[in-house]
Amino acid sequence: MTSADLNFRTEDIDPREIGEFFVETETDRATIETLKTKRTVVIQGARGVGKSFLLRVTQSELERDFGKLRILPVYLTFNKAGLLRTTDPERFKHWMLAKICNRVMRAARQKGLVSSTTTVFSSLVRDSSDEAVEHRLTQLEEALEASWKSRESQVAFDSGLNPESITDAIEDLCSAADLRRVVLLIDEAAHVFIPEQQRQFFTLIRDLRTPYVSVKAAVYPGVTYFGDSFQMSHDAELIDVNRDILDDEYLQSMREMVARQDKTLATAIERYGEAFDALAYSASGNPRILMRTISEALPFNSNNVQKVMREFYRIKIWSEHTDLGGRYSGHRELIDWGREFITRTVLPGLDSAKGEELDARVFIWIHRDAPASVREALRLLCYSGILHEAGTGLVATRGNIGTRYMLNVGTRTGRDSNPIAMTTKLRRAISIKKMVEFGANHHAYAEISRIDVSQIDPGQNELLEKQLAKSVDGLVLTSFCRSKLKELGFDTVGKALAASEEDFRKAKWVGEVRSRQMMNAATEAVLEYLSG
Amino acid sequence: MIIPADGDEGAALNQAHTALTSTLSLVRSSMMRLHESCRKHIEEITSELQGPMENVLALEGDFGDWLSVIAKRPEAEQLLSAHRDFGIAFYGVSSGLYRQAFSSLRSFIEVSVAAIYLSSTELKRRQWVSGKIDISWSALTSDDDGIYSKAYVEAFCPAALGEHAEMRSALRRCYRRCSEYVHGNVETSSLLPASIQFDLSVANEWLIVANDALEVVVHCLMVRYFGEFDADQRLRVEPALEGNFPNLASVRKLLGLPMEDNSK
Repeated sequence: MTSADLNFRTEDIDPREIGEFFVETETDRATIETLKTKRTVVIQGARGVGKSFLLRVTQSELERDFGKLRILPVYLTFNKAGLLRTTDPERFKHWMLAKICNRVMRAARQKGLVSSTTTVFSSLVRDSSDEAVEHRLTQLEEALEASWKSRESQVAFDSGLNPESITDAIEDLCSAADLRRVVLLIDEAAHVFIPEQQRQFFTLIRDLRTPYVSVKAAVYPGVTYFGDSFQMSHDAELIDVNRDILDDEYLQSMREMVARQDKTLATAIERYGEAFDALAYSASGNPRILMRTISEALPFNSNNVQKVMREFYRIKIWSEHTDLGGRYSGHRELIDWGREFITRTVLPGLDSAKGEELDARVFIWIHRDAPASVREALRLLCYSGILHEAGTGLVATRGNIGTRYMLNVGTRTGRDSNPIAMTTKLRRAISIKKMVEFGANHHAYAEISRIDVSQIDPGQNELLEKQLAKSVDGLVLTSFCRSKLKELGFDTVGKALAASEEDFRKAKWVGEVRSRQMMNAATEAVLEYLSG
Repeated sequence: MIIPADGDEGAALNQAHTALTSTLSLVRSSMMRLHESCRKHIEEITSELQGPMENVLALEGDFGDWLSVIAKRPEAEQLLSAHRDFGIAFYGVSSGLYRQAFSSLRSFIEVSVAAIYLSSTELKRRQWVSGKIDISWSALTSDDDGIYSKAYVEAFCPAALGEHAEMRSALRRCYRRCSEYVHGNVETSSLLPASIQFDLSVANEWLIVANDALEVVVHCLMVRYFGEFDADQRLRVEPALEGNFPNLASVRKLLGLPMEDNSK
């Protein structure tokens, strides 16, 4: 049984009613205010953490205050059905630009800033001087569409259409309609794109930045590839969206969120308070997981919650993570390794023997010199909401530096025979200071410490082939390390990856630390190209 | 044409001409006074209800976009006629002619839904256009075989099966409300001002009903035609669907927008 009133996704909610479901926290408010600014912003978070919701609330508030602020919000997504299947970067760029153009025009029409070309009034009034305004954006959109639809790309792409044409036209619109700026709220920004298209998208975002256009893009951690031209620290502000389960307001805000969606649940939640709190903690700050698990636990009572926690966190969350391998086939090995690492190494290590004190750790820490493929596998776990990055550059035992991740609480407590009681015990003892530490050379890394380039079929992944053929001179390494690689005969990225860290150590003055850095640099150069 | 005449006959004729001219100018001046009231009403309504009016016009533009995509279909003429009815309805409410605005809005709903529905049976559509058969509103919205019947939606747009009953209710609701104003039932008669003057609640209600009616009619268009469209036609109506119904499962499915997969 499920509740018809619970919305799992923001998209299930009518945008006009979004405000009714918004349970504001201080962090949410700060994010929304940042989304209204001139800056380019990338909001990043696992599936279901609330990125779309924050974009919709921002849109709704800007709509409400349009008369006062004169900022035009434009919400858009790149959907799967209309996606242009092409490897031609120019056609793809024109396709994206046409869509942006269309949505800006649409928003301008809705605010009465530009007339619709298909309005009935132009046909009702004869000899009308009130004909629809042929705004530059409309003409531009038509030109862009004609351009990307043309298969004779060589001819069509000398059209001179580029991001600057759009920004100029938007500037015209702002000046004619007395607008301060247009805010593009791009949801699921790069999700439907293949990695190469994602890189083109972020290059476009960088090129669109002007005082009159401000882009906000929602992306997932782990599966988003920004490319070389888009540099996060220079080109955008990154906001990590997550609800902190250690926050005093956490439980209350989650309760209120559920109550606003379905008031009939209030009594049951009150009655089985411990069960609700266990679900809320297990969701680890992810509202969609909470809504799904509550919905599956109806009628809401402790027995059903126990059952759902066992099913969801032992099976479903993992099968969804594994499915990611179908979408990013080149990353399948990393995806599978990530699952094995958490379920076979991390979680069993936290089980307490009978009579032993509970191990309350839900944070893990990974040394910064761990293999690059390990770090990539952990990022993919962040996409699925199994891990959440909780701080970089953190000092752990013996002064080592690394990254901290929070483990989804449900994946820990769902394994117990009594998940509710286990969650209650755990949440009383959770501390951000207690971490399970994994050094630079943990034995669990062995399986994926090196990308197996021999398995790559050159015909299947042209982009990866190009990366492998690149000289090691382009790797982010000291000139000493680069020269050692060449000295050993590993002059291309592909050759370096086909070798091992031991091979690198055959060079003078190259020990464990340097050989790892060399292998990591070569791995990082190809990681984002594994799936195309 | 005035025939020149002599004497008494001529004087009588001139007198008659003067009287006629004066009557004509009386008609003109009283119509111009009425027109002035309408002009003032346009100023008031566009200042008080600018946002809702813009929303309705944006939807009307979306309807126009759909019509341009299906312009070559036989039923396009009836849909264009319905579109003109909508334009007149909007002008009516803008000018303070509230009952007439509801009447034209009802006509828009009736003709557009009938044209869309009958497009699936060309013989009946032709008979309807030539006046040989009538189709009643209750038949158009029948649970068993109307536009939002399970059979119709299943045949043309199975993705919309989860929402057809709700859409049918919305369609009936809009039509019923328009009819109540058209037939002047006691409740609506007491709401309508006796002269041309701005009434916030009536004007607002018209905009709400018009908004809902346009939404449902655009949804009807999706149900009937989207499945038959080629990629280019789909692309042209995509913004209207995504913009108006981002939360409908059918739209998310048809456009390939993210959806929750509850099967896992």
